[in-house]
Amino acid sequence: MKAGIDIGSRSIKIYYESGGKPIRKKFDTVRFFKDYLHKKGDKYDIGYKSLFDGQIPDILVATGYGKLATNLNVTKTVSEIIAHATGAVKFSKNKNMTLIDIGGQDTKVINIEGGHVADFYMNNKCAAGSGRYIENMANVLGVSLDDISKMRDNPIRIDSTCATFGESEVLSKLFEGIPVPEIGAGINLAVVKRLIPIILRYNNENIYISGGVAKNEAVVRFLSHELKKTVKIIDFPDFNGAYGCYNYE
Amino acid sequence: MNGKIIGITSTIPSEIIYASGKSLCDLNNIYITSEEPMNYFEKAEIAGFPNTYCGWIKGLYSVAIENKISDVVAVTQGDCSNTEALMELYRYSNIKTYPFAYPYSREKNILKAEMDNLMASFDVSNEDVQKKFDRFAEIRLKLHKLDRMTYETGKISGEENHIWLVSSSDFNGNPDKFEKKLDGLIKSKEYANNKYDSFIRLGYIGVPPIITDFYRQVEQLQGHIVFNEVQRQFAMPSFEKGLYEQYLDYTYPYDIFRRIEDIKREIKKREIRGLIHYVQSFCFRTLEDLIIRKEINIPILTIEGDKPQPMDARTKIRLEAFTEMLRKQ
Repeated sequence: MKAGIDIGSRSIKIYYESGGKPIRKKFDTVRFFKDYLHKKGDKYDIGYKSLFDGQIPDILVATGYGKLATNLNVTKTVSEIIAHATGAVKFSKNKNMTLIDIGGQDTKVINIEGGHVADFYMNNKCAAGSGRYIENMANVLGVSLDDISKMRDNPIRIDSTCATFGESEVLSKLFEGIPVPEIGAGINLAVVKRLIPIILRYNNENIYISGGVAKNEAVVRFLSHELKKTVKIIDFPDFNGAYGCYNYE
Repeated sequence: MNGKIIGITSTIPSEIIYASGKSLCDLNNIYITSEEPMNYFEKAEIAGFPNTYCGWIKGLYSVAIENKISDVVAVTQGDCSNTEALMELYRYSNIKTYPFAYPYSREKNILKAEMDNLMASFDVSNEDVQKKFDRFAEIRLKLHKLDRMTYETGKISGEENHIWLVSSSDFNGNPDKFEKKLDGLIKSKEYANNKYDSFIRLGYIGVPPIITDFYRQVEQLQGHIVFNEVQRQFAMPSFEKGLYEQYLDYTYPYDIFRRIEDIKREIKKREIRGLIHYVQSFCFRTLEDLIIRKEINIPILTIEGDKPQPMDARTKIRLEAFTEMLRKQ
C-alpha cells in the first residue's frame, strides 16, 4: 500500500486508500508526536500499524513543516509546494491554475502551468494572515472558528493581520462597540486583501483554494468578490497536501 | 592617519590604499567569518542599534570598535545610505573616517575626482596606484579563472566561488599571500571531477548572504551556484580597460539597470535555470526586487536574511520548494 502524510504546524493529515476507498485521518500535531512517533537511533519511526489499520505502507511520502524537523523514516519527502500542486492538479484534472493554500502558519500562492509549478509565493518568517491569525482572533472575539467563518457582512477595516499583534486592533474595535460579526467579517476580509496583489501577479483564469482556511466561507466569498472570479474549493481542502503526497510520482 | 590597517565598509579602489603601503581590511569579511558573528551583532544592539536595522551595519559598527580599527574608508554612496550615520558613530568613537562616494550618475569625471581625493588623503601618486592596478590585474585574472572553473567545469563549488570573489575586496589584507593561496586552490582542483553535473544550475544575485550556511544548504538540495553576481563584481570583471574604467564598469554601486543587463548576460552564458535574489532585512535594495522580477524571465526566489545565523526552517522550506520546482519543470 502507499500513503501520503502532511505534517503541518497545527494538524497532521494522512491519506491512503483501502479496498478502493479513500481514508483520511487527521490528528492534532502535538498529540500525534506524543502518541505515534518513537525515536529509533537518530530517526523517528511512525507507529505504522496503529495508524494504517494494521498495515505498513510500502511507500510513504511526506510533506509539511515537520518533515524536516523530525527526520522521519519515510520513503520520500516532497516540498509543500509540489505536494499541494500535485494534489490540486489530480483533484481538479486542470493543468493550469493558481492555487491558494492557507494553512495553519503557511500561506502559499502557486501558479501551475501545464501541470507543473511555474512559480510560487510563500510567506516568509511570519504567520500574518494565516489560519493561526484567524484562530487567534476568533479566540479574542470569543467565537468558534466555525462561527467566524460565516461572518461576511459589513466588514470593518482591519489593518494588522499579525497573528499576535492583531489582537490589540481587534480589542480596540470591541471597545469602540463595533458588533462582533462586523469585526469577524473584517478579519476575514483582511486575510483576503493581503493576498490579492500576490494572486494578481499570475493573472490565471482558474483559481482554486485548499488548506484549512478554504473551509472559511467568508474568506472564499471575499476572494471571489475581490478577484471577480469564482474561486473553486478543493474537496477536503485540508487533506490536499496529503493527497498530493499520495499521488506523487 | 594613524593605523596601518585601513577598514572599509564596502569595496573601494583598493589599489589606492595598498599603494600607500597600508593594509586593507573589509569589515564585512571580519564580521561574517568570525567564529561568533552574533556577538558583534548583539554588541551593536546593546550599544543601542534598533532591532529593525540592517544586520550588516550592526556588524560593521561592532567590528571596527571591538578590533580597535583606527581608520575607516566608508562608502557613503553606491552601497548603503546608512553608512553616513555609521560614519558619524565611528567619528564619535574617535575613528578617523574617509568618505568615498560612487556617483549615482556614473560620470567618469566625478568618480575620478573621488578617487583622486582618496589618493590625496593617502598621499599616493597616480603612478603608484597604476602599479598596484597592474599587479592586481594579475590576481583578478586568476579569480576569473576560478569563476570559469565554477560554471564551465564544475571544479569549484558555489561556496568557494563566493568566498574567493568576495574576499577580493581587500585580498584578505595581503595580496601576495592571497594570490599564493589562490594558485594553490586552482592547482589542486585542476584535475577534480565535476561533481555538480546533475545539480540544478542556480544564480545568486544581491548582496552577499548574512545566512552563515547558505551555500551548504543550497548544495544539500543539489543546487550548484554558478554565478555570484555581486561577489563577481567585487573582483572587477572588466579590469582590462584601465583603473577608472574598472570602477565605472563595476555595476554594484550604480543603478539596477546595468546590474540587470549583466545578470541577463550571465544567465545565458552560464545556463542558469533559476535565480536566488538575496535581500537583507530593512535594506532599500529590497525594492529593486520589483524591477528584477519584471525584467528577468527565469524563476526567481527572493529570500531575506537578518542576523548572521544558520538558515531558518522556513527559508529552507522555500528553498527546497524552489529547487524541486525547477527539477520538475
